Amino acid sequence: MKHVEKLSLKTIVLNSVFYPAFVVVTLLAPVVCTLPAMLIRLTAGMRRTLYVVRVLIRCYGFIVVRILPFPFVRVEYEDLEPSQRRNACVFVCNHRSSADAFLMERFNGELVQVVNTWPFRIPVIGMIGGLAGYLDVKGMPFDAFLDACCALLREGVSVVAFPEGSRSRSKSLQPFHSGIFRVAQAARVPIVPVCICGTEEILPRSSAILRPGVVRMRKLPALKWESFKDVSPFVLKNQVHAVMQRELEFMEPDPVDPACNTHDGSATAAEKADPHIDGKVRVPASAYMPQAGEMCVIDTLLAAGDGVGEAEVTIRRSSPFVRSDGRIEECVFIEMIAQTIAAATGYERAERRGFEGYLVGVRRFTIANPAAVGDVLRIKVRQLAEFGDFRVVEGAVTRGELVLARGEVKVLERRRTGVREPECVGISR
Amino acid sequence: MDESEIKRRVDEVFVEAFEIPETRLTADVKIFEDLGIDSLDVVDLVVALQKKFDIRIRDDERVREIRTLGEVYALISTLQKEGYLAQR
Repeated sequence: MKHVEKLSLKTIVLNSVFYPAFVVVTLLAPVVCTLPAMLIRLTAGMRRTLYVVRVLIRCYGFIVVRILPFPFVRVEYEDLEPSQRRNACVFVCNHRSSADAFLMERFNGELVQVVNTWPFRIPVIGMIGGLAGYLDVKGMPFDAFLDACCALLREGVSVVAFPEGSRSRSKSLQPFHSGIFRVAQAARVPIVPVCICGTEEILPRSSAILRPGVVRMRKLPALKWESFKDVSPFVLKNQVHAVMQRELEFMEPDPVDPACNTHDGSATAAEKADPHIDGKVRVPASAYMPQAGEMCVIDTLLAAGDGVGEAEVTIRRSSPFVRSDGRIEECVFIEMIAQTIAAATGYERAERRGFEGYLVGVRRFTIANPAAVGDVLRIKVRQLAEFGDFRVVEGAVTRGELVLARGEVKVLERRRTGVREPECVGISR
Repeated sequence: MDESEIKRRVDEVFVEAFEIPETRLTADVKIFEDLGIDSLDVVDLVVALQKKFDIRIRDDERVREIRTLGEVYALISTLQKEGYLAQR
């Protein structure tokens, strides 16, 4: 007997609203595209026409992604290099859902997508893609594809590709095809990796039912052509793959196993037997950082190694950072990240409070959701850079799958010199 | 050139041209699935093999049949027996 999925009310409402509106917008799109395109074609030539069509496609994507599913589907977009100039480049994205293609409306500038043959067969959408000069990578020899991409990039049009070739069946990144990397090398343009997660939950591969949720999209700093001009395409694709894989692992917190949420930080029998399981640990965080007592805003260190750390905390009423309404002061998220890297570093050095740390900077920090008494939070951190005694650390605080806060902090770390410093660093109340 | 020398030099190609660690290079490893080489990379592989062994195999139909590293060793070995490899 076929399994019948039970849908939540939110899902039913989302699909009831989204799909009729999607059909209407999609049927109107060719009309809206074609009329201006024809007028511009007559007056301003083909190049201008293509530009207008591509802009209209971005508008279509904006409506489909950000308006029609609102408020049930949200897209969180982060640009880790917002100051980057809008020159043509190659965008390299991971691919988990057919919804991914619609997300490209977030990128500035004129762009075309590299797609397989089948999307061109979708009524209306395929026609619009063809009109905009989208590239059928399987329908042309590689040399022709390379020439077409280089011509577009020379004209200032960015090329978006999904080098996995097809949608991934899991959260792991499939091996990359090297074609688009050869394009970037030949055209002498930067590669901009883009990590997308969440679409696989909202529009899974095997289903047409939309689910409510959050899509996270992160545009990473561009890899300049000078940095990869001399490496082989094979090596280049694997380097970019590694960067994106690491980023996706960071963006997606591991699901919290309720069995692990003992709230008292006690270890399971297996962890007690062997506390070092693949870099994972379960030790009291306070043992490895300068803070003590109620100034410790994390309870348990869960992972440490290679500049990465993970910690857990249960928000308690007794915390001095809990307000009268039961929520914690949101600035504590910053301190949680700073303390997690401090604890992870201390654990790696196997030193107990041998160092003191100062939170000296916060950058691109966003607080999306509050936390309250009783919440079990996970904090994941990763060191981005180290300059002398300074470390730049990226971190995220999550509750289950929900991201509460994310951003970068800069910490200054010094070995203790015997003079007793205040226990609390980084937070002033 | 004996079999072990062919193997050593083919492995060198994978290490030098593709930066694949030598520890991953075994005869049964699948070059597409396990090493992540794609159809375009095969062209680079063929070019690198041609250079390394001073042969021309780009138009050889047998290249299309290759699936494992062992089959690359076997192809070079066969070409040697057929007299295509330059004597070194």
